[in-house]
Amino acid sequence: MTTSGNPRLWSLLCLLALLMCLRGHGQPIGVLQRAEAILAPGASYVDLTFTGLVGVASASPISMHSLGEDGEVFDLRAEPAQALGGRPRMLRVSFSGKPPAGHSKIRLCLGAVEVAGTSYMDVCAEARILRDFDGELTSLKASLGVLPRLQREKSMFASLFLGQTGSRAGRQAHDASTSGVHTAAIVGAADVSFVRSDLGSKDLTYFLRLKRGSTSGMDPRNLEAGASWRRSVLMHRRERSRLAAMLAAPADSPRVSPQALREAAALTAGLQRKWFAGHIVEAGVKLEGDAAGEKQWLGLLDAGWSLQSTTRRVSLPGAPGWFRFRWMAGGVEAGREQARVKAGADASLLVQASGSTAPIRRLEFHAQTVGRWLIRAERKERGVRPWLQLDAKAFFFESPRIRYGVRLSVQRGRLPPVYLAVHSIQFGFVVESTGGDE
Amino acid sequence: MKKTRKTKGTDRAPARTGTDGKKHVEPARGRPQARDGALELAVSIASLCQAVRVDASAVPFQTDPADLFDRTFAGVGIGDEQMSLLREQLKLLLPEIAPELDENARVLDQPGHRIEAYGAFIRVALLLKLR
Repeated sequence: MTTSGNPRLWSLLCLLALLMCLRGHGQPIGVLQRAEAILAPGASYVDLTFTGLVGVASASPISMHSLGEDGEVFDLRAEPAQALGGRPRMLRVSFSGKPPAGHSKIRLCLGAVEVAGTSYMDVCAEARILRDFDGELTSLKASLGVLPRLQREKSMFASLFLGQTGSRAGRQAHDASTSGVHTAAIVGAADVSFVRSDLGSKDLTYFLRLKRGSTSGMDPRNLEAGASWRRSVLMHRRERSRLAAMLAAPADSPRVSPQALREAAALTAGLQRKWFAGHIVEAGVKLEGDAAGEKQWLGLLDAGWSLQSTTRRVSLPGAPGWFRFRWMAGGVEAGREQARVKAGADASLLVQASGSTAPIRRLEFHAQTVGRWLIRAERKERGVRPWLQLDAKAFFFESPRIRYGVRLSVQRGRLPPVYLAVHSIQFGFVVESTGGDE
Repeated sequence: MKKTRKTKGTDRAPARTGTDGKKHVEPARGRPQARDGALELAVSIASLCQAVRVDASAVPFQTDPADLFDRTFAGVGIGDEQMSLLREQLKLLLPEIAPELDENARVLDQPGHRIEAYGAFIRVALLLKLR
């Protein structure tokens, strides 16, 4: 009888091969996402990143050696695997011994490891030895540079919908343009904000902002562009400096004492209870214009001082979240014929359901208000010109990349330089990428 | 060809039996390593944000949320304006890399970054200072 003609024997061989594959026999398996070896004075370890939560108690290094290009092997002494704070998918394995200069990899095998509740045997990893830190820093900077820009840079909201304007003035304007025939019309609005950081200065940004609507009553006709210098200054410096002193290891010991760490925890908790975290000072120049193109541009100096809150925890049942705000305590806008004093605030609230069955997955609320007091008459008017903008979003479905919901946007008040009365309410569906601002 | 050297002693981690009857590896008993800046980053975030808590006295330090470094700054409530405050706080905690943090503020001050990516930058900047 030939072997090829025996299905039972072939089935047995296939089963054995499958078992050997599952056993892994020291080969890297799918649970390991990344392995990186660090070799520097006072720092020699391998960081392992797994695809799921890893149990440090289950991980026991059984062998570790560096590998040369010519197959040369140099044994290293592995120490117990350590969990890493805030990184439950990672393990760190320190080692003794210095791999020869020509060695570029470290091979590490764990006898067993539990990842996402499943035990795996003989998990091995080959980690690239990181020696060129200058090159690595350049590479990290490049990868950080391609991530999403400031949220303000991509902040663009444009809507087009069928409806009627919300204000009496808007309805009258619309009726006049349609000879008094009261019909629904396609109206739209755009709220665009682009901000670019300066390549040379970390504090300098350039901006372009446009707010427009297709009918009066919802058209602020606001367009401004310019450059702004901004400096953030931390508050509570004494507590923060003390925190730094607590976390710094004393000169005669490589470790921070438990007492110092407890004090650091108490100081951090104290800082979290403070309402404000820092000052923000801004100064800049801008051109302000009528977005409809009917008026000439105005050049203005723009300066302000704000207080930035700490992010406050919001604890609704089953829906944790946060709230933060910035209070613009005072500012001035001054030009050749303009002099304004302004104050205002903006606030953000986000609540995200923790359970998977909640009907509303996520709720976002943003409010922005500013009041301008016209010291010199503009368009023959003085006094206070307020502006209020509210945006509320509720998301009902979400995938790992996209979320779907509804958005309500309210604008009310007057914006320079035209100061047209705006009172609009917009409601619509919203589809948003989850990237960056989860 | 160079001879392969064999190390002696404990390749395997020391284990103890816990109350649950399972073998546990002793955590964090290795040689003290140079700091990687992760604790300082977590504490800096927590000092600006109540939604993040850090227990620095535990070994390793514990965070709430537990997967803090897998999240983005925006995801834990740190906004655009707070990113520069975070950098200022980090400069206090890690004065040795303050110039690197300022020089790269433009790429670092983005709330869309994963905290782990920011932490990787800090770690490598600190490693450069060890040389």
